[in-house]
Amino acid sequence: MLALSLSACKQVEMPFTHEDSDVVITSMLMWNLPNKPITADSPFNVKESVEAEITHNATNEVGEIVFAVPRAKRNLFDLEHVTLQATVGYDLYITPSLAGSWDLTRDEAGNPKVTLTVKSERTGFEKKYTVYAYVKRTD
Amino acid sequence: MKKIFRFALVALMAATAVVSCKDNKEPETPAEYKGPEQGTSAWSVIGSLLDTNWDTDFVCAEQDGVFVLKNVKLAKGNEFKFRENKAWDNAYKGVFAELGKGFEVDNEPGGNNIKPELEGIYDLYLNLTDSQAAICAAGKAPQWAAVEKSNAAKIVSFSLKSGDVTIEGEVFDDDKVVEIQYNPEHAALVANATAVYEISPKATISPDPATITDWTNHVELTVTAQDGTTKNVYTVEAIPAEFTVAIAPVAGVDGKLLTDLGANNDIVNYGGNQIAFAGTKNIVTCDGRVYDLDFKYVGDLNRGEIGAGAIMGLTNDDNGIVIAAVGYGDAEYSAAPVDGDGAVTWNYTNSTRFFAWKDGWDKAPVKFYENGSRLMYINASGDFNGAMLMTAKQGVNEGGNGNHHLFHFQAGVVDGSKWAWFETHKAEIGIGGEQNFTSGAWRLGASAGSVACPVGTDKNDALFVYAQALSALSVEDPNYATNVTDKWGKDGNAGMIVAARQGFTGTDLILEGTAETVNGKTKPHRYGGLYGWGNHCITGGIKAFQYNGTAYVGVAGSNWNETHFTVVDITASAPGSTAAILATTSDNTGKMAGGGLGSVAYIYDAETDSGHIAVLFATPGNDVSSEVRRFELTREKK
Repeated sequence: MLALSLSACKQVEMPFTHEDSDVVITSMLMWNLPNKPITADSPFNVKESVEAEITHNATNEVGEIVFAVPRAKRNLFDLEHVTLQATVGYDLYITPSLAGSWDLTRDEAGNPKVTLTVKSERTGFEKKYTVYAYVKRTD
Repeated sequence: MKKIFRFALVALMAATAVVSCKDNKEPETPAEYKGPEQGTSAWSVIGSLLDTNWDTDFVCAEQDGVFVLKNVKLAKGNEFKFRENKAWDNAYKGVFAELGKGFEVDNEPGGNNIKPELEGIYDLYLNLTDSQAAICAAGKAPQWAAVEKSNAAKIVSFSLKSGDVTIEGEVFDDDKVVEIQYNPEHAALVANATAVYEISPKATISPDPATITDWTNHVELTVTAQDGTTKNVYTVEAIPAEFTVAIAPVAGVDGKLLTDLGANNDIVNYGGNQIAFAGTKNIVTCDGRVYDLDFKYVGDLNRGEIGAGAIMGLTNDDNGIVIAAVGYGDAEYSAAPVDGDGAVTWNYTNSTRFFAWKDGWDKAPVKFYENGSRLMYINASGDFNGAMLMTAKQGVNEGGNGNHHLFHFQAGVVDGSKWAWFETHKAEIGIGGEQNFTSGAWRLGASAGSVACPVGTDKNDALFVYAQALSALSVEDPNYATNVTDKWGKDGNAGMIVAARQGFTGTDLILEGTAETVNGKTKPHRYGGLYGWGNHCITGGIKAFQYNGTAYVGVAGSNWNETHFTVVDITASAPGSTAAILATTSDNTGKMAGGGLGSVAYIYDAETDSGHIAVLFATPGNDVSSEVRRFELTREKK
């Protein structure tokens, strides 16, 4: 009976659970290629990427993801047709799906057109990010 | 009681009917209609109303910021538009919705005319601020629909236009900067240009760019959104564009034999340039054959009244008008040279005439200058039909003095008051004395001396580049002595000197090539010559020009069995440090017993924004190795 009692006290292994502050997009890359090259001699045959500058802001606030294209690369990107790649923590997922081509230009008023949501499947906590790209005047 | 009630009800109904007529319902037409009340604004109504058929403008008045045409008699089926300045450049139309209420209108192409299907007298309103129109009963004010005002305040696009030239701007919206990158040749246009731009819809811009013509200094423009509060201040900056310039040989025509082009190997009988561009699409050689840019033969130069004259030199102006120095007096040169017997000689001629193919290579040329002695080694810069500067060397024989002459032409007529000598680094001659050149050195004929090439049209500030054959080195010359490991021997062939100066009396900047580099030094060396152009003293194989605001010179040199071509960046060169956009490239034909006579031609092609370069290396004699080469200068904005 003592052995049985000891066995019954063994600690249950808890599943991994995110803190709300962990629910972030860790990093993102913007690629200049749409799903396929535009033409055989298109400059888009040169594969280029720009890393995002991410401002998370507070846990419950909307974050900002900005791709600043260096001046020297500006002719290699069509900001209305880019692809995205993101890194997030374990068990987090992004909606909408990043598959396909994205228009990361801003609207007439200068507001980002794209908002992404990263969510923890276990806790249900989610955080939003606005996303846009622009061309820097300098390199 | 029932009768009283019924009467009261009828009276009430009648009263209601009267009240209803006073609201925005269709009123009765007055007995005498005197037409609409027109005003004097820029806006009018035009259509199929008032018994017109889109041929009559009824001018609106301006009232409290809107335009109105009052007292308009409408009938079912009438259609109309509002338009500005009685023209169709700016006309508004839309879909009428409800009497007295504003409805949306726009001035986009296509769409429906305003067709209210009303009968009676009405006032027609146009509100441009809100892009609405309204049709009201006569005397009634419109009720404008609430409009969510735009907060967009951007410069979408911007460019400057001056004459036929458009300089595109680039909008860096995050920096609120509009960059106008102008090519070097357009610098002066920026001071007198008109802005062509697009801003966010319904936004305004201040100051009005139409009031500004000088964009050389930074200009601030404020774009205000329709909401009146959102503003963005942009700075328009005109800056010189930075380019990366590149040069490359043209595939298939780099080192192509003249005989493969269908030409005779021995076409060249003189020093000096023997190749020129005709327009931007054709190349002419001294045998009168004309080629396309890939050296495919297309025809023969129209000789017009040249007769038995011999083409002794070719050049072209900046627009591709071919100019030839044609010699007369020696019957031998009226006959075509035969391959294999073309030993180069310098037979004298009695007179020289300059011809220009003003209307194209296939039209007869005009003779525009004549001299009683031999004038050759010509080069031209400028516009034949305007200001042009030409250099030409006069032969010693038959009255010539062996010196270089600078001629200023205006529309083909020489201005004798501006004539001058061009004296080279190594003084060639005292007037009346003997030519002091190349004794003992390898050169062609007694007239080998120097050639000058201008860039510009005024001798006082034009850039001049010249090439001069050098005398042989003496044994005592230190450059001779240091080369004991090489088979310099007694020849001491120093080759030629190439130098650039600003203004015809300016200080020389001596340029160096890299033919036959030995231990990092090009001189002295038997085959490199003293200045690295090759030790073969040829004259005439230079062409100076300007591309992308930079001065260059193409130098065609040679030594035994090899030809060398270099494009020097004069602007980036300094004493002892010659910069080259095309370092010396050498072509070893393996059989150049006679030495190569180099010629260079250049033309800027605005259509492709590129510089075409054509090079001819002639090796008259027993070798069949005369060849042509083509290069292209291109630039790309950084």
